[in-house]
Amino acid sequence: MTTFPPSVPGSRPRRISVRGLFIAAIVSVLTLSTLGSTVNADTPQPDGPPDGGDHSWCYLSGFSERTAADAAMTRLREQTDVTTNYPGSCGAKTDVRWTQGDLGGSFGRGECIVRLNGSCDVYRITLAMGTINNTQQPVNQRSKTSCHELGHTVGVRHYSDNFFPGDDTAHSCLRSGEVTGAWTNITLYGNHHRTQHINITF
Amino acid sequence: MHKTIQVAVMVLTVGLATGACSAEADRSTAQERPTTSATIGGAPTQNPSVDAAVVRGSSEYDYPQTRSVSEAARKASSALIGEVVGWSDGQTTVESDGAGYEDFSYNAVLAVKVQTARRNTAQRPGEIAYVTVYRGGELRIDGQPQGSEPAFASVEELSAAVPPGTRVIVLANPVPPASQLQTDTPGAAVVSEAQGVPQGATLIQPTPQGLLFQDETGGIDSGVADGESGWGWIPGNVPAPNSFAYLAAEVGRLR
Repeated sequence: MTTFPPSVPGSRPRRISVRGLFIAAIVSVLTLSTLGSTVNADTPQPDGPPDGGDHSWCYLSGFSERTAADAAMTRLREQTDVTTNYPGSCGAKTDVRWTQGDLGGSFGRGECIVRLNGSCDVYRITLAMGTINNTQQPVNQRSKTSCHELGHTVGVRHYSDNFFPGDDTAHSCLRSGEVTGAWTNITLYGNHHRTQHINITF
Repeated sequence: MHKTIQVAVMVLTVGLATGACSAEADRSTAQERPTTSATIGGAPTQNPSVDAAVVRGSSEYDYPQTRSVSEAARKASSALIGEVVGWSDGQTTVESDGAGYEDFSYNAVLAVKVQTARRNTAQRPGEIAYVTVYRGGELRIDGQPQGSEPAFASVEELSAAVPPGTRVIVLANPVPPASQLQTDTPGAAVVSEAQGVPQGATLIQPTPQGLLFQDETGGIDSGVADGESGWGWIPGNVPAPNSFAYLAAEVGRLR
């Protein structure tokens, strides 16, 4: 059991002024709220961080959305410090392998398929074109989901509604969900993700 | 003024220590996952320890979000509440480039003993429902797995993470017919079919928010999409240990 304030032999009991308590309470609340937002904002990637270096990409044989994938890679390169590289075909170390498939109602999936010493060496992005094409805005949805899943491969996580990551107050493509006319920034990475995660790794 | 600052620093130190302890306690809880008792609907129950992160693996999804379990259930043909019976190997597919590179996709089959069935489901209470669950992918070159560790969960790992007896809510639709695979993923082929599914049984596939396990505290742990605490499905006045029971009751009221 501990006492507060701790008693020290020979010392006078310390009086706590109202003013002191007031200041201390404010400082404590601010500190704890900062700790809380840090914990809530950015949980680690479930597959470890990406491996850094050039972010190369390729398509699996049946992938039909190369224009969307190319555009997503270009936007990533233009908005961040990531350098991208298209080797022409898939190799053992190609970072992102694009494919398509049914995902049971999801628009897209990003996943690590090769783990190497605690980081992710190779990712696979799957676009569920059947589901995407059934949305109100399939072209925008495809662009947003491509940007979203590619974001996972460079170390950032998604968010819902207005639970912005970090100090961001504007949306980005890492917002989860179906794109509607009210959505903004569907092909942009947010400032927090760019400066606090992506550019640090790459 | 000097004393005031001293006191402020002291209180701040206690505040920081309290915050650190809380964060540490959270991590400890998440890692150790002890089996605990919880009171659901007034009756004490013993819930198995659950870690659905093993089921989710490294997969992260972009998906149409729903505001309630009822809304999510309306997008599914089956809304079930039941108990995990066990896991087995599911369908495996591969996309090959013909030059030695193969992209594998692995599924598992989750067998669930149905207690409550809603919507237009083929499953009935007392029967076993078979749910296909994605468990990760793998790149092989010339038949050799790549990397230093597997990127997908084994059936044994799934069984340990979500053991028999775990209560589960499943919102699902039938798995697309085999002929659909070539439409969805041109070039893909089935390597092996699902095991442990009786002939004629319907295999169902959960919606992104449609696989919710009851954890050891009575809370929910999602097996597909992550971030379930931010979905807004649980009203603020429902205590966390009653989350699963709350959603199960909502599903039970569906027609």
